[in-house]
Amino acid sequence: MKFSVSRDNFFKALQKVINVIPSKSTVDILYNVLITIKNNKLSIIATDLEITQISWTECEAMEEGDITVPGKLLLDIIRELPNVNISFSADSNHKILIKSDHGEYKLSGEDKTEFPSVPLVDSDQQVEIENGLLKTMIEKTIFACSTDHFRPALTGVLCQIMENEYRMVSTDGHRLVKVINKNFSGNGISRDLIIPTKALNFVARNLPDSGNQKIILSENHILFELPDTKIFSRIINEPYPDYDRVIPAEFSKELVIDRAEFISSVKRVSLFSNPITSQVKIVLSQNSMNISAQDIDFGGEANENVPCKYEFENIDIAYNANYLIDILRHIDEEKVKLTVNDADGPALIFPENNENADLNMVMLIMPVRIN
Amino acid sequence: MQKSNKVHILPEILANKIAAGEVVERPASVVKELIENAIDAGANAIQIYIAGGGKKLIQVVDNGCGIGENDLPIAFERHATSKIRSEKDLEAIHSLGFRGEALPSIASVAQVEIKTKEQSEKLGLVFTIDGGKKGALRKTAANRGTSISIRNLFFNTPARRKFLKSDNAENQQILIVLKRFFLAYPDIDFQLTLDDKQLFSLKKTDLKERLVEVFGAEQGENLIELDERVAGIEINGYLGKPQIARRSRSQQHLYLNGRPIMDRNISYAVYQGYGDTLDEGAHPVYCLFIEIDPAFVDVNIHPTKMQVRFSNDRTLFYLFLNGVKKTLNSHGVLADLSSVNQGSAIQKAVIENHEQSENEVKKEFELKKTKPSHFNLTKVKKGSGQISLAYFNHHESEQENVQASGQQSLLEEEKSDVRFWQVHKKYIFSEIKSGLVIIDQHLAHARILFEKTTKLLNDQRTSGGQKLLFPQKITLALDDFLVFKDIYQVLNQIGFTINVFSGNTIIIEEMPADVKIGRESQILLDMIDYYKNTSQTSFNLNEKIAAAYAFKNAIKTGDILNEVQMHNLVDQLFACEYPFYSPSGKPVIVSMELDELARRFK
Ligand SMILES: Nc1ncnc2c1ncn2[C@@H]1O[C@H](COP(=O)(O)OP(=O)(O)OP(=O)(O)O)[C@@H](O)[C@H]1O
Ligand SMILES: [Mg+2]
Repeated sequence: MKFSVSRDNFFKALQKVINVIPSKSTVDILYNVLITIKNNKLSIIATDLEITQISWTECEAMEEGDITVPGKLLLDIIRELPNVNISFSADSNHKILIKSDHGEYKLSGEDKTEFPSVPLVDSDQQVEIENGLLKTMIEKTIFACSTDHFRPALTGVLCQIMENEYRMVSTDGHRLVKVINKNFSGNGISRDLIIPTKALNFVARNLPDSGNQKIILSENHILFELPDTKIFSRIINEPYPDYDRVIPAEFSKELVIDRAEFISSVKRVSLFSNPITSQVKIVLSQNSMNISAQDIDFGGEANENVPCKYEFENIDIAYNANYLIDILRHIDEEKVKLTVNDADGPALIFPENNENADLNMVMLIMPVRIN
Repeated sequence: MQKSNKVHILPEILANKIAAGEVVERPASVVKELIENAIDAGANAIQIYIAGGGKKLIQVVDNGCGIGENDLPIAFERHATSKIRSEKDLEAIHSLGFRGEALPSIASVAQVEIKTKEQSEKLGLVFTIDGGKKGALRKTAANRGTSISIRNLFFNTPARRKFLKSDNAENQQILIVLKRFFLAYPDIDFQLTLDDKQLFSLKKTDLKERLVEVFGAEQGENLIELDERVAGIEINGYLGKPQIARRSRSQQHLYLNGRPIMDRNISYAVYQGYGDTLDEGAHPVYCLFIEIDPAFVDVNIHPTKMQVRFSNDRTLFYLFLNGVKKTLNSHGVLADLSSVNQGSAIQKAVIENHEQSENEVKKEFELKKTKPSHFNLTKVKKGSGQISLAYFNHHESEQENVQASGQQSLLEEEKSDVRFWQVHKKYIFSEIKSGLVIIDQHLAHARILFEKTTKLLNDQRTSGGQKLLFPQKITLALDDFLVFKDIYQVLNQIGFTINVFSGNTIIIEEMPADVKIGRESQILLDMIDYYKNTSQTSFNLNEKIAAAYAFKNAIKTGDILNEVQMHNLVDQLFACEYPFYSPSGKPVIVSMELDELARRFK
C-alpha cells in the first residue's frame, strides 16, 4: 500500500474519528485505526465495537490496500508535521514508513483481518432532521442520561420518530427531559430507538450548523451521514420505561421566575448544604421564593429570597441542588416556568414561552423527602 | 469428714442435655435432624409446620417406613440407631443419620410427641416424652409414616432459651436449612407451613425446576448445568452466571451424597473457576452435588455433620476448578479458554490459596494485637494513634476556615500542599511528618458512612430520600423478605421509602440521596445479605443497619478517585470519631515510619 496526502487533510480526517478509540479495552486491535486506500480515496475507521466512525479525504494512490495503525500514535506524528505532502507506505510485513520533507518515521501496523468489520446498515428507513435543531436536541437531552450500566436503557437517549413529530427523551430516574420537534415528517416511519449518549456526543460534535441531517435506521444500528464522515452506532435494544405516564398532565401551582437569578441563588445556597445530599429547600409564598440549606454535620446554614410570580397557597419542597442547576442551565430563555402539585410529586420546568418555539421542551425533577 | 466422689457417671437425662448442646443449637438444628430422619425413613412427601419461630412448635410429618412398637422407646435412648450396627458401617455411611443422638438430645430439652405407623401394622402408636421423661406408649389410629412434634424447645433450660433470637430471625435460619433439603431432594414433595401460612408447596420435580422454585424465576434463566466425573467421583448441578452473583454466600449449596456440607477447599476451587468474571466481593450462585463412594469421606468429624473430610481433596479441587471453568466456557461466559488444563495455572491457584490463608492468619493476629477490644468502649482519642498530630492540626484549622468563609473552592486550593496518590485503585497513600500513611479507600468511606448513619439514627432524625421517577418493584426471596420486615423502619429513617406491594413484592419509592442511580435494588439486596450474614454481635439493630448501609454503599476497591475526591474522603475520615477502624474493626489506616523505611533499604 502506498499513497501521498496533504498533512492537513490527513490530520483532519484522523482527528474526526480519534475519539471513538476506547481509552481502555481488552481487545488491543481497537487502539488501531483502519486505513484503506481505494480509488484515490483515503478512508479511516475507528471503532469501540459499539460506535464506528469513518472519515475520508482525497489522496494520490500509488498502490491500493489497507492496514491498521495505532491511532493515537499516528495522530501525534501527523499533528507535529507542518502542512506538506506526506508519503505513507506499508509493506507486506505491515511495516509502515511515513516520509515528509523533515524525515522518515517507521512504525509497525497490523493486518486488517483482526479489525472488526463495519456494521452493514442497508435499509430504506431514512429520515431527515434539520441540523441545528438536532444539535440542540442532543445538547438538551444527553446531560440527563444515566451513567450507570445497571439500567442500560437509561444510558441512552430515547428517540421517537412519529408521523408528524420527532422526540428525544432522557432520564436517569431522578429527572427527565423531553424535547419535541414538531417541524418534522417521519416519511411514514414510526419507530422508537435508544441511542447511546456517546454516539450522540460524536454526532453533535460533527454536525454543521445548517442543512439537513440524513439518518438511516436498520434493525440494530443507526447511521448518521455527516459531511466527510459517517457515524454508525449500535441501538440499545432494551425496553424504555413508560415515561409519559410519569409526567403529570395537570398542575395546581405555577411559578414564573428569572432563570439567572434562580440559578445563582441555588448555587450560593447549595454551598451550605450537606455535600452528600446537596439538598436545598424551597418555600413558595405570595410572589416570593425562599431557598435554604443546612448541613447538620458541619453546622452551616444559608437562606435567600428571590422574587418571582406565584399566586397560590404556600408550599415547601426540597430538591437536589445539582439536578436543579443542571436543568436550569439547559434552558435558554430568560424566564422559566415551574409547575407542581405537591411536595411529593414531580415538578416540571419549561422555558416561559414554550408553545410557539420550534422545540417544545419539558424538564422534570423529582423532589427529595423533607424531614 | 466423709469423702465424696468427684467423678461420677452422669444420670442419663443430664448426659442427654449436655449432648443436646452440641446437636440442638436452635430450632433450625431440630428441623434439620427431623428432616434427615424422615428422608432416612424413605419418605417421598414431607410436611413441616413451624409456629413461633420454631420455639413454640416444630412438626414434621413424613410417609416413610415408620417405627415399630419395640423400637419406639429405644429410639429415644442415646446411641440408639437403626442405621449402623458396627464400627465397619461407620466407615461407609449411606444414611444421613448415624449417631443415634438426635432424638434423645431433642427430647431432653423439649416436649415431644411422636405418632407413627409401619405399613404392615393396622394401628399406629403414640408416645410422648417430656424433658427426657418418657410417657406411656399407646395404640392409636394413624397414617403410614411418622409425625413428630417438638413443643417449647429449651423449656427446661431457660439459659439456652434466652439465647434464641426473634421469631423472624429463627424462621430465617429454619428457611436456610430447609432450602438445602428442598434443593437436595427434588424428588420429594415438601410442604412448609409457617404460623398457619403455607409458604412452600413443592411437588416432585427435577433439580432445575426445583432451583427455579426455590431461587426465583429470574435466577432460573441464568443457571447453567455442570456435569463432570473422574474415576469414582461425580459432580453435577447448576452454576449461576456471573451476572446473578450475590453479595453473600446465601445461594451457594454443596451436597455430598445428598448431605449438605460446607467445604473451603471446594468453595475456593469454584471461585477460582469463575476467575475474574466475578466482581470484587461478589459470590457466585451454585447448587452442586458430589457423588462419591462413602468410603472416601469421613462425615463423622463434626457434631452438626456439616463438615466432612475427603481422602482425595486434591482431586476434588481440580475436578471443581476445571468443571466450573469448562461449564462457564461452554456457555460463553469466560473469554479465556487457555486455562482449562491441569497445568501451571492450577498449580499457582493452589499455592496462592496457601499463601492467602497464611496471610489471613497473620492479619488476624496483628489485628487482635492492635485493635481496641471493642471500638465503642475503648475510645480512640484523636491523635492517640500511630499518626503524628500534624494531620489533625492541619485539618482542624482548615475546618475553621470553611466555617468562617463558607467557600468550598477556597478550601480546595488551600489543601493542595498535602498530596495523595491512589494505588491499585484501592489505597490512598500520603505523606506525614514521620513517614507514610496508607488508607484503605473502601474501609475509610465505610467508616464515614457508618458514623453519619448511626448518628442520624441515634438522634432520631430522618434523612430525606430522593424520590424515584420510576419506583422499583422487586420480589424478594422469602428469607430476604423476613429480614426486610425486621429492618424496614430503620431503612425508612436513613432515606429509603419502601412499600410492600403484595406478598413478597416490594416497591422502592425513595432512596438515600447518595446511592448511585440505577443501583437501588442492588443496594437493598446487598444490605439484606449483609444484615443476614454479619456476625457482629456487638452491634445493635441501628448499628447493624448502619454498617450494612456503610459497607454496601461505600466506594469500592476499583473505583478511581481524583485528587479532590481523595481530599474530601480523608477530610471526612478524620472528622470521624474513630477514624482508625472500620465498622467491623479492621484497620483503616496503616502508617509506616521513615525509620522503618530506611531500615528496609539497608
Ligand atoms: N421419621 C422417622 N421414621 C422412621 N424412623 C425414624 C424416624 N425418626 C427416627 N427414626 C428411628 O429412630 C432412630 C433414632 O433417630 P435419631 O435421629 O436419634 O438417630 P439417627 O438418625 O440414627 O442418628 P443421628 O443422631 O445421626 O440423627 C433412627 O435410627 C430411626 O431408626
Ligand atoms: Mg437422625
